[in-house]
Amino acid sequence: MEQNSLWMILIFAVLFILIAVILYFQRRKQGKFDERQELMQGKASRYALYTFCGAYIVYILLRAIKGEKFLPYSMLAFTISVFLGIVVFAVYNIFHDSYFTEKQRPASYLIMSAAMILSQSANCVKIFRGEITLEKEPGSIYWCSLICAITFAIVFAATLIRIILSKKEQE
Amino acid sequence: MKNLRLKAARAAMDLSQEKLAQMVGVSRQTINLIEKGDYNPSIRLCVAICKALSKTLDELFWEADE
Repeated sequence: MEQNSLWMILIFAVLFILIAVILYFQRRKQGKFDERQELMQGKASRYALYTFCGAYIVYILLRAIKGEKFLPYSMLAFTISVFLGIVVFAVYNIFHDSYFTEKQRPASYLIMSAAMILSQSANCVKIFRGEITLEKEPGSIYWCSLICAITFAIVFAATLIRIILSKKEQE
Repeated sequence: MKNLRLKAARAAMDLSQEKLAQMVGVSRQTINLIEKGDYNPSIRLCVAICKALSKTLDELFWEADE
């Protein structure tokens, strides 16, 4: 069994490196961010970190005040805080035109986001049917799918709004 | 403070913001924000814009005391 696990780890490591190399070369074709975009991304990273820390601190404080039985879902709260940070980063950059390089097409990103939302939503069917609840299975992986779907939906909406606003600006 | 001289120089050469942005290697929005006065470009970018529009730094970016 141990040897099998080692092989699995090795295979995943090789796959991860391969994907990273492919993404690196693909990224080089997509162009670079200009100086203003890099500045905006720096600000977005800062705000994302504040959001993540703030959200989790609020959760910890609420638990400290209300007692340990109040919302005993610390891993879920941590996951939500991380995704809140990701949303802040993405939405800030999208509305400051620093999410895409000039060579990237926001429209293809919309298609990818829609596909992600659909795939994650398929995983959430059990939640929608009430088969999985917070009380019964707070650590279920399906909650991550739901949070992921909501995150991509917000980013999808932000990208769409920005595309529409950009077209109006150009007119 | 809006940079109307930049906008005028760009218009005089019949260049869109997008075209000028491509010539200097930045995004269209960056040119838009420079013209609106909402972003201060680096010296390197200022020089690139001046070269693209065949103008000097003084002509496009110097803020004269009024």
